[in-house]
Amino acid sequence: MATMKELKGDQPTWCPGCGHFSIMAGIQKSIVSLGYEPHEFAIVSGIGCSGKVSEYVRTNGFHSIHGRSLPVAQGVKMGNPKLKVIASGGDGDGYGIGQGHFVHASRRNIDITYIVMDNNIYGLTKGQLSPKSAHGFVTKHSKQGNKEFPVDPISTAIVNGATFVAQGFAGDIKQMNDILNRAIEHKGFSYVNVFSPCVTFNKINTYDFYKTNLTTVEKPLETREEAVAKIRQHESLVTGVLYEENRDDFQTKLGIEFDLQPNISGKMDHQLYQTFEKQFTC
Amino acid sequence: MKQTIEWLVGGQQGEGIDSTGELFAKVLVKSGASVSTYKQFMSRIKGGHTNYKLRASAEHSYYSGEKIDILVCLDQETFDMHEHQLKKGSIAITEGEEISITETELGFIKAVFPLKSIAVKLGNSLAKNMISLGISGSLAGLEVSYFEQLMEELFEKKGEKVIETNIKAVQYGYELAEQYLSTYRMPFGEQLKKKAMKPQLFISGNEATAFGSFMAGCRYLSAYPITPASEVMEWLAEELPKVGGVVMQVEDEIAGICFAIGASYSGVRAMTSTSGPGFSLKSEAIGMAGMAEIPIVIVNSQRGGPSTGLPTKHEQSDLQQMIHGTHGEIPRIVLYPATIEDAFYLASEAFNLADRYQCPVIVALDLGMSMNKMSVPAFDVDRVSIDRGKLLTDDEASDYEETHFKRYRLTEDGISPRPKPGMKHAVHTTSSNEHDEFGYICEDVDNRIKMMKKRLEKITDAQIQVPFKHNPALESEVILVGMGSTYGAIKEAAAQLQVGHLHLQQIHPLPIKELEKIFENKTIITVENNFNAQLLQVLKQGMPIHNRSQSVVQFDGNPFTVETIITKVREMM
Repeated sequence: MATMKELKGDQPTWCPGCGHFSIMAGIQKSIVSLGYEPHEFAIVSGIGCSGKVSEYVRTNGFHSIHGRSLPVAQGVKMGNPKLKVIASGGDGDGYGIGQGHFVHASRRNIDITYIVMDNNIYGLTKGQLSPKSAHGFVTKHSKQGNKEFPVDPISTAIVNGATFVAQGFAGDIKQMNDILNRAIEHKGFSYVNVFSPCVTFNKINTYDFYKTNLTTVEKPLETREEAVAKIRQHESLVTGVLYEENRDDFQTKLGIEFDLQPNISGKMDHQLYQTFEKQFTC
Repeated sequence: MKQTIEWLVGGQQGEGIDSTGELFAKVLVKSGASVSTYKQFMSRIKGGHTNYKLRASAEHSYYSGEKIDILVCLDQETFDMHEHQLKKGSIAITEGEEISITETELGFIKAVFPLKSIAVKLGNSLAKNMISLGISGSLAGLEVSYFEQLMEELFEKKGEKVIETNIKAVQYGYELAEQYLSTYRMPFGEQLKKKAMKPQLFISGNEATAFGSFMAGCRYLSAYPITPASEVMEWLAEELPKVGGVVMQVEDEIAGICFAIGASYSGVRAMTSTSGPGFSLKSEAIGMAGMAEIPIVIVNSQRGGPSTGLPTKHEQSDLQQMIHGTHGEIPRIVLYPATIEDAFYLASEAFNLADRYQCPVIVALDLGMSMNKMSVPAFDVDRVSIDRGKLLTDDEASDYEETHFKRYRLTEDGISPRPKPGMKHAVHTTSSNEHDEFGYICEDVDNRIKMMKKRLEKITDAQIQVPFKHNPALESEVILVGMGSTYGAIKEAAAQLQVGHLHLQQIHPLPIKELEKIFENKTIITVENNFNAQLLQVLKQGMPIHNRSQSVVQFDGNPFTVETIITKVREMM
């Protein structure tokens, strides 16, 4: 069983007070409290501030490219179904450039956990609008206010077939840890959006803002329709496990015995060759 | 007696032209001929002209030819489009009200048969293809029994009745030919009987590439459908599950490569397949594989570009993209099989190189190679063995006794031992950012220089078994240089011109030392299907041949004919 100390990786370079610290600690705590060892996990991250989490949590880590943590992470799980795989990214990474992958991961239901560190802004590029920034949101680069509406990833995941959809807040560590534990243990695609205040660039969505505006659901909604209605009713400012369903994950549905890693060096298999050569023989 | 026979069937897309052509090709292969084919089709499902051309010869040949001995026209358009390829003694079979056999002013025979109404009489209105196959078979002197055998295999699942009506239609074709065309026969088949009959494979470049990958232990492919590469995915989708492997058709080209990189990181031999537009989209991820040192095989079957370009036409214009595509500088290897046979071996070697050098390996094909079938000798599975390079076992990894495994350990050859995620004693970090030996982000100048050198120099000595094919013409100062599916046409042109021929199979890194020796004091003429003479540019970058090199280019979407090459080279010599 891992300890918090064992799970400590490289020294974080996030700004003091950044919500990402508690998400990182949340992932570490879940690994410890669920009784896993560091080598059993792989964390695949995208790019930006959130992208660094794969180096800060000492499991197997893969810092990939902008918006692509989901396809890489799903590939990792396909390659080794025994690994516990976490994909992570920010709201820009996941809901901008990576939005397409997000929709398809939801409907595909490969058994991984996707954690989005959502700060409603682009941090590492110094404070531009993100797809999650509110309508009218003012930044240095959008002085007239955001002309577009924000995406609603929670509803998107639910309507596209995700089997575990939850939302947490970096300022409510107890609830977040509970959600992460359940997400990691869920068999299928589990998705958690975590509000993670950017203390440097986002002066609207602060810790106080969330403390004042968030509503919590005690148990998942019964149907996808009810879940979406609830999210709409609270303009997405609702935390807890919003929807959960048991459905065979992708690898179970394939219904084949995996042997993806024959891992052999040596001669090619003559018998195998002859079996498959036949179809080309005239 | 004829040494070769050239045949073409044409009609509307959706009329079964492809299967008609393939049937005739298979009968020829069964008869002992060497067969090369070329399909022309358009980017639509039904309607529009399509044709299937083949050239069969007694000696092994890689060229699908340019003239036609027997032209089967299932519509008028076929005749109009291909009349100019007919010569004295050729026979065109066309549809008409009444049977008539006439010799045209150009000296070829035009044979008109009411194919459709005969087919209806035989009880199957679709059988006109089969009747014309029978006519062709008789003209070429092929044994009718080979058709019968093939029909039985082909329609086994459709039942006795279907087999019977099709065989009847072929036999009827034989009778028609004997009755009306016996004086025009070209008994190519008879000389084949004397040849020792070795079983041959009849296979496309895409299938050979997929089969080679399969035999090399590839167990995972993720890709997005795109002409002319889709067959790689389709073949593996059918066959991989039988050995516990998986093919995933994913949401886009970028996902295609990222899934495969993820699976490869997990320790699986993984690949993706695509064509030019998809390759462009994959570029950033190719850079990630280079930086993160993850083995990956990418098959790029080139088609006419740029942009959506000529989706169903042949071109060789992605060369520079394959060598340089992606930002920054990464280690990579680019291979380009010269023949369908080589596609099998090079695909296998690609996986070994990817594992050995922990970098992307690109297998370049072109439409001419990908989609057309050819008869080849059975593959020799002992020629390539499986080598997974420095991929560690659990025990080997634990010998290092490290809490955090140095994934990017600096070694003498620049290649770091590679553990798999999930190994108890080898927790490690993989990174697309510049990193230190632990995989942690690091922008330190000294580290940067060391890591760049490690990555970029590790592939310097990478070389496949046959990096090029070379037929020297000792007397000649001229050497024709090509790549990919132009092998057959250049080979024949070079023989007729009595000049040398070199066909490059390893494009990057270039096998410069050997090439320098061969090119010394020679005039180099590259023969390539693109506008900018990309292959010549690559050669010039590697060797001082600027004042003694030229190129023959063609970028109209069609493969070279021997005649074009000869004409253009003569102008230069």
